[in-house]
Amino acid sequence: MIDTLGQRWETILACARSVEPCHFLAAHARIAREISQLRQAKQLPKDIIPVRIVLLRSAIVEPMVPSLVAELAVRGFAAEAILGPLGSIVPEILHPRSLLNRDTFDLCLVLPITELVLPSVFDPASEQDVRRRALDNYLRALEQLSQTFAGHIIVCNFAPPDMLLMPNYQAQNPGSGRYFVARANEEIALLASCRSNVSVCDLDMLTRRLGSQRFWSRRDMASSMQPLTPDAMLALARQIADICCLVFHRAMVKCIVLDCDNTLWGGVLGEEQASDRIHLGEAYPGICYLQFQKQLSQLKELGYLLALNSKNNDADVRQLFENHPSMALKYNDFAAVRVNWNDKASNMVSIAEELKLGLDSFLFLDDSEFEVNLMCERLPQVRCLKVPDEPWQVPGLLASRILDCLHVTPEDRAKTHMYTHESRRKEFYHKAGSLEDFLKGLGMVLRFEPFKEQEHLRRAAQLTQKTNQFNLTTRRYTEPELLAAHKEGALIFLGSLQDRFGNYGRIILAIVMPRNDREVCLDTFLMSCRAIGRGVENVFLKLILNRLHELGYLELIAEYMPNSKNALCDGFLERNGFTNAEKTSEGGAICRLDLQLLADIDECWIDVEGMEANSQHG
Amino acid sequence: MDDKLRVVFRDIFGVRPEDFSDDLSVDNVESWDSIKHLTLVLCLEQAFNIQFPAEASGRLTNVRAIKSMLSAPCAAATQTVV
Repeated sequence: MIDTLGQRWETILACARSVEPCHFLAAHARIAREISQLRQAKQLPKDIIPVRIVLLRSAIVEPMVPSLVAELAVRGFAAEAILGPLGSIVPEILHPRSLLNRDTFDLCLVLPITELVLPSVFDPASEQDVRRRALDNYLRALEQLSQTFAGHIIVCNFAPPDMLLMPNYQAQNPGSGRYFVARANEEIALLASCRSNVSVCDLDMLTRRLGSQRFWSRRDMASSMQPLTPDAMLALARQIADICCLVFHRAMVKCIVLDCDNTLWGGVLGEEQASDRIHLGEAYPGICYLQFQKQLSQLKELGYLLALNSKNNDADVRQLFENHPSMALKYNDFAAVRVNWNDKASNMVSIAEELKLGLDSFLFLDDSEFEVNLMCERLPQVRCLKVPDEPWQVPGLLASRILDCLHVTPEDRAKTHMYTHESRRKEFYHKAGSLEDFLKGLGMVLRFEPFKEQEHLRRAAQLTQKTNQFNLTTRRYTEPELLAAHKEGALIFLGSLQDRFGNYGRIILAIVMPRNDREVCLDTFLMSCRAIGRGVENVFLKLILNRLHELGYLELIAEYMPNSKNALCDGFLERNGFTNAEKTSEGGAICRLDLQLLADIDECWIDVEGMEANSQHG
Repeated sequence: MDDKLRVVFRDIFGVRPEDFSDDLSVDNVESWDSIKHLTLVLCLEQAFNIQFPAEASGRLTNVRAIKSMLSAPCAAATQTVV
């Protein structure tokens, strides 16, 4: 039964993936209908995220909706879209009994038409304060939406005008509608940067990229209030679906794995070709590879890891990185290096092990069709892009939205450093005589941090989204969900770890839900895998047990929900004194612990900080 | 032309291919409402690579009318021009 369900979804997906862009409208209509049937019959595969979307819009966008559903399906969502009344964005938000406010949705999509939300904005004769009032109304409504809506909000910003009267006059005039729209978009971005549940869909940039002539259908807007061309429908649906992936943290790339020859530089590095024949530098085609390296370096700064997986002689590659004057990347920018003659799929598996990441966290780039196909076939979880043969196309490769995110945390920025620290730790481990000497020599300090919204919300949500291996329940939280849980009384604790080699950042998280005066449930207990094998999880658990005991609770109930990735948690609860009370149908266990029988901390090599500050809260 | 139309009607309205006929119209296809009609017109344009004038949409309310519009060279002649 489950098989046939999965198959049905797979068949729909296969259709959605193979739709030809020149005929997509009909195919998407069919795909959306089939998905709606599966949703109604409650026959979705387990790993597919159902999303209910409410769409607030200025115009008729119904013909675009099936494409949105199909593009979301390709990305792992089963969407259902319900449309608000035509032309009514602000009233729909403000009216207490509107569709939006009566029902519950996971996602609210706001799709305004600039001229309809900001009337006369492009009229060269109109007064500036009229526009300002209209914009203020709209922004106030969005602000209210961000406070009252329980799910996530995606706001399309304002597109520039399709037709502009007196374009040169407007271009000279800083107060003109043309510039007003740009400022309005900045104010929307400001709102999104302050509100964790608001993201911007950059309609402004999308219409520019496609060209407003190709984007807007003046014919359909005039005849039926439907503003989009089919090209625009597809592009917009894809952009929104991509943002949904970021919002719901669907399979994010964490590491970019690169080939060397004709990827990081032009030409083939080898004995017969001296390194000065490699293309890299200010002249074509070397400038394309230089630009590509600079882009990789920028992405590294924002938290993407880089790795090499290349068939070359390691010494040649090392030497080139050291000696080539135009190299923008350095050899130690790579968190893992496999330069050898092994097959690339085996190398990829070993990189994943070294970096302690799942295979679905990798993006593999190679100029060889053979290598890309091999990787796709052997390791289908790894995403692959073929590096184009034309050098000028290479820098465009990274503009793909596979590499994007909505927020960057300090932990992201420090990531490559952390892996460098990790390799120093490894050296130290080999020098240390025993595991105990190693652990004692690290000088670890675990800082216990009770939840503070400003400081912790973003990182806490990110930890629930990204952590797979040491995660008892794998419950994913978005920022608004986590905040709502906190306001309803959930106790959230984070821990940050430091040792003599560096700072790990906040790497461990627990969410505890009080059930009544006596009992509390361990809703979430997870630790980033880079701290595994040090005993940190045991210490942190004991700190939490102490805190719960101080708060007067008598019993802690914890569940272990096993899946394909979190086998590391097997037996964790039992080892820490929980009694295994009952088995669950999924092979997990519900365990209990009496909080009055607290054990001492065995891990004497970890110092603890921050416990005294907490007792004020308790 | 019939084959393409049959696919379009299956995809948009869920009409089974064996039920497709020249007699289908807004009056006897349940899901053929004014909103689906917009999608239908755009799909026909995609499928036959043509562009209808704005007024044509109101006349495409049954399969017979669609067929005659598609085969009338002058009506169907406007290829997309930018």
